[in-house]
Amino acid sequence: MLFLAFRHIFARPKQSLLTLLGVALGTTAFITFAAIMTGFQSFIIDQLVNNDAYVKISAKEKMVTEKDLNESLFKDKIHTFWTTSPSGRQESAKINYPLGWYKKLDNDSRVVAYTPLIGAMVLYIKGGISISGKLQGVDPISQVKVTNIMNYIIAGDYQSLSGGGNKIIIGQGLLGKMGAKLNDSILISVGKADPIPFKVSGVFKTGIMTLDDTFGYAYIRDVQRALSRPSEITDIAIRLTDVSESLGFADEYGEFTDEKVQSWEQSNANILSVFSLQNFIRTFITIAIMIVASFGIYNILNILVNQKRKDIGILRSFGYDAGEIQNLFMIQGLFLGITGGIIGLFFGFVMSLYLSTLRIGGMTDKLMINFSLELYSMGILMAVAASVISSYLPARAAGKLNPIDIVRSGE
Amino acid sequence: MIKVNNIKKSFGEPPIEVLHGISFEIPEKQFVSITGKSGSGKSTLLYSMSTLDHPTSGEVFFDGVEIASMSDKEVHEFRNLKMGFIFQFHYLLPELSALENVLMPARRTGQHTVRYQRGVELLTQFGLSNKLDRLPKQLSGGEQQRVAIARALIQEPKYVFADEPTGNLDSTNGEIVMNLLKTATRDGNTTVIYVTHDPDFAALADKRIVLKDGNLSATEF
Ligand SMILES: Nc1ncnc2c1ncn2[C@@H]1O[C@H](COP(=O)(O)OP(=O)(O)OP(=O)(O)O)[C@@H](O)[C@H]1O
Ligand SMILES: [Mg+2]
Repeated sequence: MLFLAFRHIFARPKQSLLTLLGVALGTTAFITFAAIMTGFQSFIIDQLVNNDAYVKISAKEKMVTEKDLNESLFKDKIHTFWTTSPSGRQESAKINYPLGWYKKLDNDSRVVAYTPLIGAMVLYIKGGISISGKLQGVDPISQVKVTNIMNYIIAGDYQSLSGGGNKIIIGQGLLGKMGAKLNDSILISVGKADPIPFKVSGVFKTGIMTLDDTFGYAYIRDVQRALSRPSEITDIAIRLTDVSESLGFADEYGEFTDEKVQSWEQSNANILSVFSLQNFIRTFITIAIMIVASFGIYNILNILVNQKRKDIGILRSFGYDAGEIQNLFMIQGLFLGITGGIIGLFFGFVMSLYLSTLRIGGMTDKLMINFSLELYSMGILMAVAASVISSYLPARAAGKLNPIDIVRSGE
Repeated sequence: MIKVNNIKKSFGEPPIEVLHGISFEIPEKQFVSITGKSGSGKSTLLYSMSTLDHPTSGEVFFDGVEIASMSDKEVHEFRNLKMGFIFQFHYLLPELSALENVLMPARRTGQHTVRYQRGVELLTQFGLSNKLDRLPKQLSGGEQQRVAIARALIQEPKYVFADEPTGNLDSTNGEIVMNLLKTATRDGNTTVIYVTHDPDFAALADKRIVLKDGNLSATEF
């Protein structure tokens, strides 16, 4: 039936081309949309995972209770009575017994590396300008084993931090906002004491504005001293051998501690939920596009089957059976759908290439485009599925036509 | 050999009987006409005995095998290999050339290359040797009907059924067509059963079946 099917297709080139273009357009739109969205998402996820940590143990801000005070103040008394119960919050959260964690992590084969952190909200000051941001105290040697921050240093040297002496690696955006440059001295205010001078010994740029515009990294001891919190840490960032183990790992460790153990998925739940909304909308739009394309095929085949009633009658009279007649039309729908799909993939690819050269502002300064094989397989799969579904009904109707009715009535 | 045994055919609801129990036998290599007034049931009989339609009751045997006992697949194979149909309207496939149309039944089993030579010979014999590659719309009505006859004969069928094959043709073309069919019976191993209104064409038959209001009014040899 291939022979006749192709004769039918090429006998009405305009109709066929139009149908094919419908599918091609749908597939192009799908590829382009999905390439932008998933490209952006996987870029962001990659950044989240690799610039922060797979799993992070963080200090919990604790409420002070009666029991806490009884234990530390009146340990030897059996009963203590308060006229007003004590309440309040510990001034600053810290990890209570880091050494215990280190020991445990050292003995866990899933752990590649871990690094202690101390984070604080600070004001970055230069001249009359002050900008609020985050200062992270890091241990540069173990830090680079946990995150990819080294890859994003665009000036200076990350390891220059390790010597101590109040040096800071700062985001490019933040540096620009302050009007400062490499090797300048800036002031950092942590709140209570006088601002402390830090020297800009490096600049990083990840492409994610929330990081580049607000973050600075300094040596952990310098930050502890600036905050007057010697040897305290607020977080331990952990890298595992396998990123997909993060969630399970976090749950397991979270079981037996008061401290917060979160995988990257949990600490970025809000972003991920935006992504799943995006994906939902994208799926919705894609389905809508494919329905329109499917209708093209469905319509054209329905019309064709009606126009071809006589031909079907005569084919049946010399022995072509219902299945063969069904194939005759199925082949046409599939051919148009699949060819349209392939053309769509091509144009989607061209569109993606073009978009990837554009420079557009936003959370990232360039569009991140997904060129993965998966995306393209998905595109062609959808075109095939749409054409199978939309060809099936008209083709089956053609197969069911009764030859005698057609031959008798002469139409 | 065809045996038709007491076939009846009704249409509609409530059923109206159109054929009231018809029986006859047709030996091998016959040229058989079916005649009768308009509405007498000629077409109904032709289709009911040729597997395209089912009789309401009664049996039809081809070479001793009852049609109703064949599977769907066997019926289609039988039609493809042993039968040819010619209708009042030619029903050529408009996308295919004359020769491609003729070879279409053979194409079902991939025999179109084997039958190619026969296709060319039939069309040549039918006076269309220089029009093999023409599309149907580039042929006259008579030429189209000749192509349709060549198509019905391509598989060297044992049985050819024709419902008013000359109905749409002038007398000259009608004669050409009838002679071609007659020749097929004489030269091949083929039985042709044709419906006609034309007494001259009916007179060409070896055996004549005459219908009157759904009954067999006469069979003549
Ligand atoms: N599908 C049908 N439904 C109902 N009645 C039908 C059907 N087909 C045929 N008939 C009736 O059966 C009778 C015989 O019809 P048939 O077509 O066999 O006649 P015919 O002898 O071939 O006539 P003509 O010479 O005009 O072709 C007619 O009365 C016709 O109205
Ligand atoms: Mg009739």
